[in-house]
Amino acid sequence: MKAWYVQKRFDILFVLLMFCVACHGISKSYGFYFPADEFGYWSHAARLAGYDWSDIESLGSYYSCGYSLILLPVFLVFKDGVIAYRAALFVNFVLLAVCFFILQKMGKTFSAAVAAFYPTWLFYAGTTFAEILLVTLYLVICLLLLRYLQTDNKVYVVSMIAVIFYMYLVHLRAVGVLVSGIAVLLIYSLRNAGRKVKCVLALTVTAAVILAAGLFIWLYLTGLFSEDPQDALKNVNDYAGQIGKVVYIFSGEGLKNLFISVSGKVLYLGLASFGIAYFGIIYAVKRAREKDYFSLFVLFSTVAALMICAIYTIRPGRVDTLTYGRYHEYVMPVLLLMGIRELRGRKVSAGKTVCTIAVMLVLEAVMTGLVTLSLKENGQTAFFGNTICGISWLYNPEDFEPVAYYWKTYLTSAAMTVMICMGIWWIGMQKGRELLLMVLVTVQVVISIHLSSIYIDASRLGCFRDTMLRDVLYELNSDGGREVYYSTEGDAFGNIGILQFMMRDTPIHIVKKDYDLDSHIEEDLLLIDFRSDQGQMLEERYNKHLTSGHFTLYYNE
Amino acid sequence: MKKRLGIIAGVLLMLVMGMTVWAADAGMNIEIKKNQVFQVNSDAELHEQPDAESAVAATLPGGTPVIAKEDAKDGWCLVAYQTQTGYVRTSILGLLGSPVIPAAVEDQPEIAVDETQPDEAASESSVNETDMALSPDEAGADDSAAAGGKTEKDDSDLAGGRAESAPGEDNAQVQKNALDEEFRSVQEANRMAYQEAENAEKQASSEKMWGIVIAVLVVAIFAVGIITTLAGNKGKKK
Repeated sequence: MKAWYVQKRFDILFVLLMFCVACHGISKSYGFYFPADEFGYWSHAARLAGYDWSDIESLGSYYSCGYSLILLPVFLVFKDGVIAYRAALFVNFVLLAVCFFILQKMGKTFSAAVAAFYPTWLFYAGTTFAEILLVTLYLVICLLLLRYLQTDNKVYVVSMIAVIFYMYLVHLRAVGVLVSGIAVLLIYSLRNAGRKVKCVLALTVTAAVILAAGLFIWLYLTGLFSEDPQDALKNVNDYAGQIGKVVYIFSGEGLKNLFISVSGKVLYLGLASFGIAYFGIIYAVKRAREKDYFSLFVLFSTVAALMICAIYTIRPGRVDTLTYGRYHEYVMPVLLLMGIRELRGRKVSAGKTVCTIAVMLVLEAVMTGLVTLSLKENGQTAFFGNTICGISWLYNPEDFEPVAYYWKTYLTSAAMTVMICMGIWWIGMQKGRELLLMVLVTVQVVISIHLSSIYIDASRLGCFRDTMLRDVLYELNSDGGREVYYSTEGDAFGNIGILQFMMRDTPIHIVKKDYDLDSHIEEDLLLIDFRSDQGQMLEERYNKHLTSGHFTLYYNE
Repeated sequence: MKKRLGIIAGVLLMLVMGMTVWAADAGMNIEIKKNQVFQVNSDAELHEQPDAESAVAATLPGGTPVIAKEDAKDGWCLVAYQTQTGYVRTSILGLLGSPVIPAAVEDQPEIAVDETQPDEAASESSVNETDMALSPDEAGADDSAAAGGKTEKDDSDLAGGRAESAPGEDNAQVQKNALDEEFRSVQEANRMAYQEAENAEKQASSEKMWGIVIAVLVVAIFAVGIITTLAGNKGKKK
């Protein structure tokens, strides 16, 4: 027992630390932080559990159902919305602990901790976004591939393909992992198989490419002939809106925007990881040259994830979409692990490491320049820092100027890059100095708590007030004789998902803003967005109203 | 021996007296910390800046419960009531249920007129203020509330009502009853505000606790690491 404890003491401490960071946020959570997206995932679980939320579902975009399979048992076990939500957050932290153990199998304990405590993961674990599941699945795929390459056991490859398909079901943008995984397996098989197998594989690949091209053309034509092609282009969660973007890339302007978009995403990787991810890429390239298929997979999936993210956000409507990180960040832990290995394994002079860092910083400066130029050209001002958590820790809504912000972030991250990368290099030169990586883990924990406080905490109060409104609604509808309606207006529909999730047994119906109120609606309970301008009109019809959280409730006694 | 005992008793007496004075003093100057709930002891103007010259965002009637959004600083504190936020002087803040100082005479002519029944007038004045505090429209509540704000419009009289002064009763008792009644009615009308304040307080303490635990764990990891390294070095030397 003592020997086991001595061996696992750091594992236990790191998991405990993860648990405490989880509790720090969970105890304050009452509902969705990204209402539209999180509701999208929960709604599948609700449907599978037999609840009818179709009216509210119809307001949102398409969401894959893979994550809902994880949420379903939580939804079934915990009947209270707030408890169910907190339980789902706890599941996220269990998944993060799983990530830590997987990373530990690929690297040393403290390096694994640096990768697992990446601030963005701790931030997303405070929401029911699919990101934590995506990163866990990516790491599981990596581990299975490693095991397959080490043992040549077919069970690993079958499991890997199954997990890849499941990951694809969690989010369609994981198609990059699907393509990379299959490509690496094919290359590996082609190099190690006989002539007959090679022929079969070549035929299979040709058939798959023809099928994929056919699907692409079909989706493109569907987009062209849809009632509102412009609207189709706005979709972000399915491929219907992406085909137009792929076609756009082949124009001059499209190519230029793609270059800027890719630069922004590569810049994000560097700034968010304090340069370690770039060393990870260097490591992967070196190893891939030596026919290491695992590194090849990491490289392929990184490039695929970057390209998908760049195409998804090729027409940036906001400041943050230029350096959008959420869509390709799932490769970050492996890159961090590889980066640390590259830095620690460098038995070269400090001069070479300094030169590499200097080149990186110059490249980052060029990319920051490109991003800021694009910002000046297009004049975006809207900023959602929560989609680029890795580089938004300096965000202050009261003093935000996009161009200055990016340069400030670059300079801060550059200073950190020099200190951290040189520090890791120095740790590699000394024996038994691994503990110093704990300084980086501490910085990451502090950043994650800071991110939660600037983004999630503000929404928590609104959600708590929504729970109070839910109690009022239950009180008013104690006999179940009244229907609950929500009057939609513009794009402000996302928040109603919070209330529907909290009141799972009471389907909320939708009425359009310019409706002619029927008398029966006046007997029922009507919710509107708290910012709505319908108040005056509704006050004539209802003798009471109450504003709490994101809504105003109108009712007659 | 007796002399020594006398000195000890004298020191103890001085200590007790000193502590009593300190406690009384502490009672007079309440410490205003973030997320605590207070009331404004008289009509208060919510300033946009911690400066008496700055613009007034809203006016709250005396007795209105407010949540401190920050620790008090330089005699000012950022407070919130329902949807309104602004700075007030800390001297105007008191514990919930503290006696409300009536507004200036020119603001309440109906009270000033009835000079023959000072007790009733005083009682009536506090009730009027309570009504003002309870009525969200008069308290400055706005239907176009900011995110998460809450107001309630009610045609019926809110709970609490008026505290009638009973003839022959002791003045102090009457005042106490009126205050109790006022406090209850304020509580009822602001149930949600209290719930929220309670929650904010709970969250703040939970956040603090988990913050400390996280810090302790980080230190523990460092400590275990250092001990392991030192033990390893010793083993090598041996």
